[in-house]
Amino acid sequence: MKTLPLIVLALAAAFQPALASTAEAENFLKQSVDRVVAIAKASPDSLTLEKKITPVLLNVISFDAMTRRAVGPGWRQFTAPEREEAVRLFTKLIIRTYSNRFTPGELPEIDYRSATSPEPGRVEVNTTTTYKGSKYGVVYRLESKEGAPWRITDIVIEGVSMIANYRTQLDTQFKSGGAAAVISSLQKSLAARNP
Amino acid sequence: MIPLKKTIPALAAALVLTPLASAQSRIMVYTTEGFEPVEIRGGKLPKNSDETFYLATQEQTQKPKKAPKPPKEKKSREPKPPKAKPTPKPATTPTIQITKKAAPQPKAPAGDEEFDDLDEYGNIPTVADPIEPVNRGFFWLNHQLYNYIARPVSKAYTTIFPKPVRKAIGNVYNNAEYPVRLTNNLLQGDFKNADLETRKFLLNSTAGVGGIMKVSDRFPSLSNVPSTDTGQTLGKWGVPHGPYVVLPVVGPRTARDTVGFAGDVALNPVTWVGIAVGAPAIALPITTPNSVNTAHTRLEVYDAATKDSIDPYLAARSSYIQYREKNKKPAKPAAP
Repeated sequence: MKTLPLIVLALAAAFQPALASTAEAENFLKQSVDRVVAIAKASPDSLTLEKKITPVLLNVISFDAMTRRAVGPGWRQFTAPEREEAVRLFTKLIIRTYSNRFTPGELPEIDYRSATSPEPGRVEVNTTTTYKGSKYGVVYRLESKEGAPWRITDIVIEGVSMIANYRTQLDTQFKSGGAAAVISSLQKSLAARNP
Repeated sequence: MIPLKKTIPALAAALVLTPLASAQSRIMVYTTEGFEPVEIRGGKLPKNSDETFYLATQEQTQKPKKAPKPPKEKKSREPKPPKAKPTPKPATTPTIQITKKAAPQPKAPAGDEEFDDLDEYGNIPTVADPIEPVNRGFFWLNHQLYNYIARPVSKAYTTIFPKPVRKAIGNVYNNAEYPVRLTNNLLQGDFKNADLETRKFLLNSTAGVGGIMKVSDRFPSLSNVPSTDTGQTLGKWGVPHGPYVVLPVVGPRTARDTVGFAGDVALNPVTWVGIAVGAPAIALPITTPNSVNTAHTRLEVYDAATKDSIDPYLAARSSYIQYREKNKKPAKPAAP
């Protein structure tokens, strides 16, 4: 029985990194969301919000991983300039999407419920977000590889993954015309929403 | 010492040895009797490894076999056993076999040339869409209806009726749909939720004055009872989605959810009122205020799914299927 406390300590130490990384990711998310909400609060319209929010989101979201996964295996056939262009356009599309969803004066209330780590370097933070009187279950997926800073790689609203949704659309584009079709569809989508 | 025959198998499934704990070959396991040392065989645990190793017990440690035969099929995969010949240990010291398993999804760090994460979303739920051209036609029609009829009507409605009034109207209709939720919970064998739904209904109908106020929200146990419908019941019974369809006005459904939708209408008390007065069509003017009342929220959901999409039809289809899959309850016969 003398060894029991030592073993408990050893086991606790073994699980410590996982617990620490989960807390770290959750903290990162909270801070990021707070910054975004503060910017939204001070923005009179979605255009101003888009401008102000872009540098913040570039340090919060892994647009590289998002674009890659939204395209899927077809990404391997993209040339380096095509990859760069696809990431640039997809980044713009995502930022515009989220800027457009904010209505000035209406701010979300976020209740952080739980955070889990499905595997090392990955954390999922479950929240309940109240926006315009409706409650939504929102899951933020974050990743940190080999000590790199945490980044959001997907947002799942009521079970609907943003990346999975774009994957369905971009995969169809890729199958119909390869990388050129993907880039062209992203360009069209952005042009259609240009003010 | 301790009867490990029953405790170890349970542990083997749960215990994952991380590299942190693998520096030493002596492993302690926690049993119902406390912590006990065990010996491992089947190889060493490498240092500084990111891979996951699972531990499995050797059943023969309790009943040593006549001649210890090394398992043939695993011979080539397993690392060399430690110097000493693996001899059966006394029944009191269990032996644990190390099995290396592939990590769930090893991912390449962002920026690497080898992109191992490209299949991340390879298994997103999909459904057959054999009548896609027809569906696209109805999708276009609905899009016009939503934009040119539902949206202006909803805007006028939200301007005229303040938020508390709209909320109260929504609460009354939601409360009246109790039989739909109760029946489906019972059909799914979910008696706990059936009980919670009943409590909610009784509380809101009485203290909430006919459901105008959602008093149940003040009770944590009643504030988040998951809603259910006939489509979910059919799913629980193992009925597959079937093909995807876009219904005029109603919107996206699968064949299963279309049948489920009919079931929900049949279970709705408003339908019963229509039948009771001999005019089923009366259900339409009764339900219309609710449709208008909820149009605002439903249009927001529709916009969220389609507004900034590349192909709104595909975006709506993917959102619908993902949403329904999220709310799906596992079918009765659990898949192996």
